[in-house]
Amino acid sequence: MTRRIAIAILLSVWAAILVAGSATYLFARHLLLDQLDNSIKYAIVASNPPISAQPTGNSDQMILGTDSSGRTYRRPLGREAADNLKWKTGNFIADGRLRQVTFWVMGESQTPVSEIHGQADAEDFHTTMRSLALAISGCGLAAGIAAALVSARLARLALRPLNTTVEVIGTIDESNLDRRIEAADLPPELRPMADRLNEMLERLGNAFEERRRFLADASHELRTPVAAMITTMEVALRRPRPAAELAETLDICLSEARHMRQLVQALLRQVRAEGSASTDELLDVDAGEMLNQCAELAGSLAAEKNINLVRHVNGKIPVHAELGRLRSVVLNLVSNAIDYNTPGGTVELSAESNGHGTEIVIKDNGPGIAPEHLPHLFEPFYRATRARESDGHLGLGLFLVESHVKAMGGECRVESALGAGTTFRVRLPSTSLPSPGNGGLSK
Amino acid sequence: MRILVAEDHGPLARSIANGLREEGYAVDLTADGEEALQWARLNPYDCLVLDIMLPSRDGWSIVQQVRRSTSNVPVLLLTARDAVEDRVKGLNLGADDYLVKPFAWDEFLARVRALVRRGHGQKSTIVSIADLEVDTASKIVRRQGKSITLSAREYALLEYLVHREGRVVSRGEIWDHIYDQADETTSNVVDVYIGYLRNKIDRDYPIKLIHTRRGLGYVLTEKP
Repeated sequence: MTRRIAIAILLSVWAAILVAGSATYLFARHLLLDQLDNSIKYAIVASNPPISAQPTGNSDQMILGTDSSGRTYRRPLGREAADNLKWKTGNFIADGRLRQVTFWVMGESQTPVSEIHGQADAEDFHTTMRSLALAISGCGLAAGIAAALVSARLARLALRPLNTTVEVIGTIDESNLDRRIEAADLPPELRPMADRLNEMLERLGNAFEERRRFLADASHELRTPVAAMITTMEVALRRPRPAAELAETLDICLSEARHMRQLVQALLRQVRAEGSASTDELLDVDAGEMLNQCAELAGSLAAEKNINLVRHVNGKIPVHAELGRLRSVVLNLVSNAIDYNTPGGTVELSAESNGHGTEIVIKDNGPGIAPEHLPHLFEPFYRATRARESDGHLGLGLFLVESHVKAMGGECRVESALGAGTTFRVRLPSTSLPSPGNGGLSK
Repeated sequence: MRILVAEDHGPLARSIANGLREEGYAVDLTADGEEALQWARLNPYDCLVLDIMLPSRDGWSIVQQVRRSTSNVPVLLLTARDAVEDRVKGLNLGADDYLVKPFAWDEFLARVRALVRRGHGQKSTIVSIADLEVDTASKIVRRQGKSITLSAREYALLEYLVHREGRVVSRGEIWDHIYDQADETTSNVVDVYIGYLRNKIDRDYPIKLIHTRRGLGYVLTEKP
């Protein structure tokens, strides 16, 4: 970078000096030559003696020449004498050592009447011109190099804050994502870059922190059943026991192992759900049939719990989504609504589409969720009720739902009040074309 | 020795309670943090075993509240989180020990024993009074070098008396430390067990160790 700037400056300074120097040189040459030629002209004038005996008494006249009829032309000498000589040609002779100029001698009516030659030594002229050329090119060369060096230094100075930035970035890994680049120390031109980098670090940091917390929570959830199994078996093995008691131990361990299997499967589903849906998985499809299938699948569960499952799905429900993911979302929400409802309650599944997108609504008239739980509902392993074992819920269902919906570029919202039931709304883009926030949001 | 176990994972809680009962401890079991705190304030436990993540009140908060009421009952925290800050937090709040789940049962028992011992101001696992020797780790009782077989309840009673050596303990106190809340027995049963214990510990030996203080209770000491 620095070198490129220096070379560019060097070349442009040289080009500028070449142009300006040449112009200066040519102009100076013209001036000097003019001066030389003039000196030749005055030498001619001075070397023509005035004719002394003239009837007019004008002694200060010079003979200009004699024409074919023998008439002699004279012109007055003096200050204007030189004006009667007009430059005709000029050239260097004798290998440039002499300057020879031919002048027209002008008659009274300002017409040339004859020519006159004059010569002068041109050595001085050439010496001067050589020195001038040398001076111009020498100065240009030096100025170019100086400019290049100065600009390189300046560029390095200007980029120095970048070096500290680079050093800071170089030290950042997953363990210190909270480090930030000091934007205030940077020149104003570089501050937006630092700000963007800091924002990126912030996002990365948050993502890592979320991941870390998820892992800690997941391992916590797995450790508890492992601890239960180990302790149960160790206690059982401490002394001989009747078969019935051992069978009970095995039962406990089996149900713990099943719980763990469920947890592991849920974790795997979660990992898959979190990858954002690639564009070729997302299609413009009709979700109507899928929603009806979900309602039928959940129907037996609802009947078992004496819940009335109502569906309002009419006509085409266009969505830009992956049907597999969407099915998992809807099934999760519907079976939650059934599970947490009170017997005799109602669960409504409806879908509506307008120009902005499609909204799938799962509404129940169950006991509702207390406001303090609502903000945490989509967090992994969060359970509104703390009874860990009783309901068989892992606390991952809604987390999975949100991950799927986000991956498809949609959003998931919940409205609830104690005693008034709960409504989950899943909003998805209805087509791929006018879907602002589709690609960007899911990344 | 009476222990409070607060753990909300049912199978684990039941296994811990059963295992401890088989070792002769009286165990009260709860899955709720608030209830654990109430019980810890009400009953004279020899050790509290608290899970950190409990419904309604977490283990840290229970330790804090128990310590605020100037109780010195030893506390063992159970945690499924092994982050250093979690462990440090528990110890700083006044817990005496912690154990990360899953744990080995033997280690759990050893730690509970150590905490109970420490709670009674004893450092060694072997306590000797006259020619009586009680090894609280292996639960072996010897008199004049001869091993004596005791039932779990008898052993629990002896261990409690040994920990309280030279101090008079009432029937109620003994009952509180030997029986858990689920027991329907009355403190009269203590007299019965004292009788069993005297038969095994004192009857065949010249130096009597268990003495009755009428109207007050019992005392285990070499000098009557």
